Amino acid sequence: MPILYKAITAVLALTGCISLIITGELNLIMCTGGISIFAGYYRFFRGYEQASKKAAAVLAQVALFVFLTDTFVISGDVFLSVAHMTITFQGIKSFDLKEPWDHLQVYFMSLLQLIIASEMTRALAFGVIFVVFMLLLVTAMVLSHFLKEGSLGRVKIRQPVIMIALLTIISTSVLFVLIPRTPQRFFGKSHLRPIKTAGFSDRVDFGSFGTVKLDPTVVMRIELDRSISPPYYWRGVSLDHFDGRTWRATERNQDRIRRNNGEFLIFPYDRTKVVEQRIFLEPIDSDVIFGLMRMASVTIESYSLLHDSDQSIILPGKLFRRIRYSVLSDLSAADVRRPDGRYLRMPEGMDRISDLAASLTGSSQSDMQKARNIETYLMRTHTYSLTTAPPPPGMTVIEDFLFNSKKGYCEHYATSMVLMLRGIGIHSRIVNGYYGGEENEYGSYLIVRQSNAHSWVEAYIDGQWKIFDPTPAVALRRPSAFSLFLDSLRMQWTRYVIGFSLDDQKEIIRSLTLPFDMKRLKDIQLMPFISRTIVVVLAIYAVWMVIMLLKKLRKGRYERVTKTYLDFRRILSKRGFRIDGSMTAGDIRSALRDSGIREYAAEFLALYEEQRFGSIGTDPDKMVRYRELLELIKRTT
Amino acid sequence: MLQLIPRLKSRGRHSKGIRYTRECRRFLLAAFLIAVAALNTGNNLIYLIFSLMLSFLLLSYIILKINLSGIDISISADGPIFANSTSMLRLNIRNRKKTASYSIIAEAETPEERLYCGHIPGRSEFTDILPVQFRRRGIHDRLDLIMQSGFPFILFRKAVRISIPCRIIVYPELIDIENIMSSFSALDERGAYSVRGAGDEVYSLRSYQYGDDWRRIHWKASARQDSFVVREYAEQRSEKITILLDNLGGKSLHFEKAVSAAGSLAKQFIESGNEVRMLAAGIELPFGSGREHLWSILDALASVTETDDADLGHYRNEGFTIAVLRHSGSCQIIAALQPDMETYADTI
Repeated sequence: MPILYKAITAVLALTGCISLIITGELNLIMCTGGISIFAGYYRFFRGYEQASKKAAAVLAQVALFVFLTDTFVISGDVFLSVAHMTITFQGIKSFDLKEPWDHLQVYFMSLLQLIIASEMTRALAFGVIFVVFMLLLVTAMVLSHFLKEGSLGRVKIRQPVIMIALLTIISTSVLFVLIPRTPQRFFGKSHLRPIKTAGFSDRVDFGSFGTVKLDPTVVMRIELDRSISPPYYWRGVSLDHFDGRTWRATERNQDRIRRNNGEFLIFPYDRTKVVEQRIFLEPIDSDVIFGLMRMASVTIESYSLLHDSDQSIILPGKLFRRIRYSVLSDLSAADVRRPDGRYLRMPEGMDRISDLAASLTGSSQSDMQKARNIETYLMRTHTYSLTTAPPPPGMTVIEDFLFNSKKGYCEHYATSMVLMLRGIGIHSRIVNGYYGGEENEYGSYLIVRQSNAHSWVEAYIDGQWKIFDPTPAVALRRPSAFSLFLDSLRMQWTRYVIGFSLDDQKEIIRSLTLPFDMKRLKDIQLMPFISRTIVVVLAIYAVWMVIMLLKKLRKGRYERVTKTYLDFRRILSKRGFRIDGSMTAGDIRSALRDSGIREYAAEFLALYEEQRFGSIGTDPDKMVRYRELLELIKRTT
Repeated sequence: MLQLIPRLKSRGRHSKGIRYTRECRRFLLAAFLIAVAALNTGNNLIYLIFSLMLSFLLLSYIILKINLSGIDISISADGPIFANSTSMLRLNIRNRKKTASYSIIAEAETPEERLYCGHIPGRSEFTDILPVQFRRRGIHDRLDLIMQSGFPFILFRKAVRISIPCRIIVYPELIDIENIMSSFSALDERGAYSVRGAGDEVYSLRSYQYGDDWRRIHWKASARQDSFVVREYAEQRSEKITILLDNLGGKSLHFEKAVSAAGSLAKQFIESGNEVRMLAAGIELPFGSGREHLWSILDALASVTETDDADLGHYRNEGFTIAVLRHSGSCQIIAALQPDMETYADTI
């Protein structure tokens, strides 16, 4: 058995195991049996005797026992236990590779491992492993064929393997796009572990943002349909009630948002005024839809969507999977709903805060001025810090922040401002979401991380809810170009593979049928269409020109007689005559002895030899005849 | 010329369809389960794996079809072909496509052996010997070959039956006739063979006479006798033998054996330098000797059939006559000619 075949089997087995390990979900203790893969394949490469059937059967039974123990005692999860068991089986199988069928079992096992891994990770690394697996599997399958025919090693397979691998990549991509998608999971639960977030539920413990502000995990990637100037406040939930330790949403009524042509319409909008945000949300443990204020519509693969009176948009359940949705926001529209008493409620014993607010806003005439004063005060007199000490006894966290430590992060600032506003009679609420994002020029999108989690204030002033952010700006470290490039790849992976959906398929079909849709044809802007077509045609023409130029340059090395002779050889080859590179004019003459063009060919070759190798220069009349003969041969064959 | 198989291109391709291999059945089962998992979870990564599996099946099918398309086969014989013995056919597989073909197997419908061709580049040829075995004698006007391949993977196998128009003469099977020849040893007892002539075996020595070839001088004997002594060589005298094949009246299970025995006898006698005549209902090959005559007899035997209507009355006995009868009691033909010896095919 050739070493290449052995090596591919070994690498495929490892690829399957690695795909599981990169998920980070496995109990590594339960995978220790997999270490034997190295010993097994070492023995296999060295040609040592393989394990007996009896030994393999005993080991398999032991693995089965371990699997049952794992399922019911250790991990308590069948799915994870199967993952552990496949690694152990790969280890056992590495000692039992006698027949070609044993190798196929390894391939099937690796495939199973890949499927299990796909349920536990959505990482780009999985994509890399998948491509490696695909190329190795193509090679292994072709090798298996030649092995079965008993001709492995006698036929050069590099060229067919490369060709088939390329075709496999293309056809897999095409089929991936064509296979109809289902929008929802039907049975079973996802094993994808969501990103732990904080602050995006109807009950948020104070200080929960402190833990996530240091986490660089990407939560969202956002494409904007047009450039807008910062700041970006990706609104999540708003909360109205604070009891000194916890923020809560007391209004529990949630209404279904009307669905119109696949779009959940919150309020009618003018398409020219809205900003479209295509959001790729990582699996987070929340059901909140994020978007810029004020969200007019949401397009998402979901049966329903809810909203509450605080403008929070909520999915009917946590999805625990990557989702993609599109939000249209009218940045100029404001929430004008009149607030009720909920937004003035203060916890007990907050008089000192009200007094502070009153002293800061005593000279201000308008509510707006008052709010600005408080915002400026907090920004200037307090220090942003993620390391906060517990408050001294008898003092609340906010009092400690305002009057004692004067150190805190967004939650401290926003809560303080809400309480201060309420203390002077201005309706206000806290809003949790994400702020800002890194612009990635490699893919023209924004990266929003856990560390972008933020709290800010909305206050009802002059008949509408207005945003205030008392948290001072913090200098952020710009990620390296490489990490941005890597993230753009992740974005593409998320966009075109993980997030590929039924809507994308519909869009593709729509774009394909567009040329036949006369009604919509009128709407197409012809100029971009024509210009793109011209560019494509020019590109094809340029490629063709380059090919012809290269051919000409190759021919240019020869004089006219030889050029014509090369044409003659090419014509013969095209007409099915076997003309090898090593064949001389004499060989060709012999080869054509029984053909219908033997006379023309003989004369042509005689002229070629005379003109090419004769001592006299080229004769113009003979050259004419030489060319004429080529034409005759061309027509006759 | 014994027979001629013109180099004709294959004509008439009948696809025998695509077969699934054992591996393919398991692959299909796995693909089905993955499809269910993909539909249930909506997980695009499982869709991706399912696409890969579909792609394997699709490419396997398409490449297999392309691999066997544009292939022409021509044949030529490397020697005479006898029934039930392995003969060599020179097979020329020509790939008319621009793309290469891989791993093609050509075999006759009753495969003695197969011809494996690992790689035929685009617009090129591959020539090799295919051992074949024909079960029955006769003139075959076409040769059916099966061309199959499983390239590129191990999921499908496609076979194409190719009918090549040709003229193949399959001679009767040559069998062991030692028993008949031992009965025939009476011929030897007549001393018919040992006469002087130009054979290879030394018959006697005699004194040199004018005109003798000096190369025949036996130098050792000449030295002993002190005069030139020359060798005389033995020569087998040609005997006239008639082989009478019983093909008259009814059908017999032993007819093919009788034909084989007649052919084998003819070969044996002609190679021994006799003049052989072949007679049967509808066949009359006069006395003759040499390889050309042998092939004429074998040509006739290749196509001889049983018949009910023949007149053998005008033949007269000449030389030694052996009747090859189909079975005991099959004596209709003996009435016409009185054979010197009878042999029965059912006892051979």
